[in-house]
Amino acid sequence: MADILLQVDQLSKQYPGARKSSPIHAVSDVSFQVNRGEVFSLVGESGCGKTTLGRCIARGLSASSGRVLYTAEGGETIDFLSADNTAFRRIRKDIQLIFQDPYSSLNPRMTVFDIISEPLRANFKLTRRELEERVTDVAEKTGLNPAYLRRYPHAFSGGQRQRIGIARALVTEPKLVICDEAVSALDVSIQAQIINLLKDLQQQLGMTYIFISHDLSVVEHISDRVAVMYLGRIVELAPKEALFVRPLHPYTESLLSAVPIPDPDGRRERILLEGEVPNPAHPPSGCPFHPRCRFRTERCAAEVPALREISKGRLAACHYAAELDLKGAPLEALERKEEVLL
Amino acid sequence: MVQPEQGQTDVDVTLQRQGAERLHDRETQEPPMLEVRDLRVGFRTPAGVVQAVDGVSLALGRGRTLALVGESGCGKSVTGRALLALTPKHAEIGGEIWLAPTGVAGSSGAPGGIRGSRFDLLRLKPGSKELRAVRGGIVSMIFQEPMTALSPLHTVGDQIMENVLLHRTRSRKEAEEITLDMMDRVGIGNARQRLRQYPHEFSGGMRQRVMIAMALSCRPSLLIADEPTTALDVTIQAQVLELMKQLQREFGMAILFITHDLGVVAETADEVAVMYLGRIVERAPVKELFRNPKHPYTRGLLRSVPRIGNAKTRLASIEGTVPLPLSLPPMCGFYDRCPERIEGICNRRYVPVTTVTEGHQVRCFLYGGADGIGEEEVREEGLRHG
Amino acid sequence: MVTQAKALIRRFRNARSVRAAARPDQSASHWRLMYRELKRHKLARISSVVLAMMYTLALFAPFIAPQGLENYSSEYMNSKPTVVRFVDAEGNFHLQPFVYGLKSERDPETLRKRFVEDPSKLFPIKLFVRGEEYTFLGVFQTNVHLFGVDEPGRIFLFGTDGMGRDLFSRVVLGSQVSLTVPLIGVSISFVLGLLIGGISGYAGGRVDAVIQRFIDIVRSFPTLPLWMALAAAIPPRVGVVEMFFYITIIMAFIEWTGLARVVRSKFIALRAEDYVTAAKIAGVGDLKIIFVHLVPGFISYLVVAATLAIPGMIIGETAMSFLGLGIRSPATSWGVLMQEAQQIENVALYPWKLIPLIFVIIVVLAFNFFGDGLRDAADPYSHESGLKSANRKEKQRWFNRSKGKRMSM
Repeated sequence: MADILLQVDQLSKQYPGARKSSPIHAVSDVSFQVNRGEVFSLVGESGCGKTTLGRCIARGLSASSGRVLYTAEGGETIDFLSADNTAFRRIRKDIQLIFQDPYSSLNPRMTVFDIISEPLRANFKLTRRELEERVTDVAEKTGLNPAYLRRYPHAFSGGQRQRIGIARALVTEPKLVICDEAVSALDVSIQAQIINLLKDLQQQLGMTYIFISHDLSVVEHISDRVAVMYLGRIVELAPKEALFVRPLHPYTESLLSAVPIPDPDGRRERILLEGEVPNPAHPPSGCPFHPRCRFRTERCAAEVPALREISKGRLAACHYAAELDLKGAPLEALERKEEVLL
Repeated sequence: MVQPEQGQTDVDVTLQRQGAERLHDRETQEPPMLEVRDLRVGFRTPAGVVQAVDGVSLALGRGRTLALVGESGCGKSVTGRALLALTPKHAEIGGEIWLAPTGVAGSSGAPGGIRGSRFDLLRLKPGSKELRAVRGGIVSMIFQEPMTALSPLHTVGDQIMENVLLHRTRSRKEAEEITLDMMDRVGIGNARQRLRQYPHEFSGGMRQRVMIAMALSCRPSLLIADEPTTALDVTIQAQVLELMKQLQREFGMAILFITHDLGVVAETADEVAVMYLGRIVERAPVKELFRNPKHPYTRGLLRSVPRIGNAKTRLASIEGTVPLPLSLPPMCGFYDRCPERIEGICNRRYVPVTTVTEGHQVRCFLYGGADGIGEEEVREEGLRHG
Repeated sequence: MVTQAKALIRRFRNARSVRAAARPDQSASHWRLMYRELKRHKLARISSVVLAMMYTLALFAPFIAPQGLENYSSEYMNSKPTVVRFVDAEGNFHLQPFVYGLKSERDPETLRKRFVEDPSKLFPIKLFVRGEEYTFLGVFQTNVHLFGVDEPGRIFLFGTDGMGRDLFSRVVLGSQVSLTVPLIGVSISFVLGLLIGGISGYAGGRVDAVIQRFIDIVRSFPTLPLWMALAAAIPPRVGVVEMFFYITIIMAFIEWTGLARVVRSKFIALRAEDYVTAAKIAGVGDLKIIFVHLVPGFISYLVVAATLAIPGMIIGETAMSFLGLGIRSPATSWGVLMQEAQQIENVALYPWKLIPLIFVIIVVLAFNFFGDGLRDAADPYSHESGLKSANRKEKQRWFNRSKGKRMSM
């Protein structure tokens, strides 16, 4: 059995709705496990609840219900969300988050040193010297010049700011890092630098990532297992290769088919979804995806499909997951392409 | 001796013009719909002039799509705005923008009367009737963030109709008919009812459809699409791209597609121009560019895109970041980040455009441009500059 | 060749100025950036000089004013401003300015008493003359004044009022009240606003609602009757100092509400910032988040709001005194002076009595312009957009290269 680091159990987050309307279910009953040392990705379009989920896990937002069972070094398992103060103090530093926006996530009034050292100062009692050592160390690891630590964030470009954000998340040597769209706001060439950095750091420091993104190509590049979210629920969860080669949920299929592929020869038939993501304040009855699904039946409108295991390690929330034969991403065409390019 | 900057730019212009001429040779015997020659846009800042667009030349034929690709700050959006003469007050703008619009629209009562003639957009007086006739009538634009481009105070129908009333007809009834038809065509169902709704009642993808309806309501000859799908989700992006392609087939307008997303480029463009630091560094038909990229920047860019199906390989990244286009010396702007730079040549001289194959031009010394002057001369040239 | 050289020189110049502009950026704190941005605002710069002059005037008021508050002379009622001259009636130039003596006569038509210059008597203006006793800066007992003329000469730069008091002296002395009441008032409301607004923004929910409704109520009072009611609560015969104190409190009582709202809205806005969430995830305590992330985030906006509140208070003090609710003669403020000038007779016959109004206008404008400049500067990051994305190191290399070129030339 794989070594489970984190187990999210029936996590839900509701926002109170506007006057008289029902509450908005941003995340409903999400459960999954994250194994030690893997990259677990959460994919979905805007409004699917992936960011809310990430923040709830890191306790940046308080979840409405559910548990996040974290297995600490010694093997003890603690609920990260309801841990009492003493226990929480011990494990707080183990789960950190990297933000999407490299501008709003750094306090413009603090020096880079103060920003990076903040988690250290909050969690440990360190002398000034130790503090400086650890900050310099993490700055070097993330590719920041330690000579610039006395500067303010406004002196840095977007890519460098993102490195500062990564340094801040890694300075406490966390076990689990949640990367919330950590490369989405960056330019292509900078994005590649940061993806490589994240990959290198993971191997170097033996961390586990929960990688939240809307970009399937990035997700495919970095993850081991992928969960696809739609309207606050996980609709499919599978090892990466399996999911990309043969998706089990119609939504995953259409997501894969919508990704623009940087290859003019690879133009292919698209499965164009009808309509748009429904308003989470008024979710459809039954399967949340059924109004846009090309395979829908009456059963879909009536009955909410449970996320169930279809084959080993592959879960899908579709009544017909076992019967449908869905198309994956056009991989062969791309592999051929690679040889030409490189 | 070779004159720096100005002199060599003329060479570029000639080359680009040759390209353009070929283009109209191939098709009808007309000049291209859009021809930009040596466009320059600089912004005066307290720290000096930021040369956002530094001598861009391009040509675009009817019904074709040219993608302008580059990273943030490369000047692609500024170029797009310049084509509508939409530059801020503190900008310095130079060059020529020749438009040869067709009389497609049965422009009954349309003001201006420019259709059918060829003119330089930058020579039109700011605020003049002609310029207003161009904006929205001949050239129109869709933006990245439709919410900020639509007025929250007016109904969607009124906003589309405003444009129609300005350029196509004076009758409100007729304008409403055109508006309904446009909304229908861009896939806004139940148009008669949605006409009276406000932008906040539309979702992101629907708002972008409204923008497109607005932009195309007057049958422009040229549509500038500035990152039109960047703010949208992939499934919605696919819908909008499909819609744009279909409308282009229907209306035959030329599209200048400004984007940073190479995937979108591959799916929409006929031709691609890659911009870096205010200059076009490479220009080619789309298949040629993806199959046979020449400029080290283009190659770096293509390699650094993660793509489905090659997770095993490590992403190649371009080291460093884009420098600020402040007081650029006559040298290759990519020099500092280039893995194939030639010291003494690339950082000494202004880089001219070289034609690799027909229609494929690149601004890089690796493919010539340094011919005619040997090693010695190059060095001498450098010394003379220094 | 010449054109090339010129181009190079131009390029170098650009590079140099860019470097000068870019260097301090890298480790400039928020306040430094704000200061630099403020310096770029021309009107704010001029206003700050004007305000500095005004406050110097107030600080040294008894020294600068030739007369004290109690001085009056029934001989010189409603005298027009004395003209300071360098050239006498014979056309001789005097290096030391002088004034003529004044003699009164009757206007043959209106039979009104009026003052004319008497060119036969010439009084040079002297510096550091002895005059009325006063306590300088609250410490030294002295009678030296900045300028004056020997007896029996008189100098009334702004003329005199109906009791023969020197208007210039009264404007200068009145500035002490008119310029300090708003400062102290704003300081009090600053503290109140920070505290109450902070509680409102932090606590949220019911506490927030109660505080906000209370603010609504306070703000919905028409100010004039409120002042009158509050002024009526002041005991009738209080000393100047206490009166001053009461007025300040009244002003602050109304003004804090605006500041509290600024604090509350900024508090709520900043709480949603990603860097605050980041601190929370890092395990930083609530109080620490407030003082490290939230307060520094909005304090500059609060300073701006406070600065922009000052002109309102100056006008408020003036209005209260004008209505006879505030300071009363012989103690003085600009409002008192304007109240004394409120009869139409004064405006028609003795227009110099309106000079205090000019001072009020200048100071109010100066504070407004200065506040505007501060507001523009309060968010220095937004102005950097062009430079923000630039990688400094990269840029430095460009500069070095162009510098190197120039040297080899």
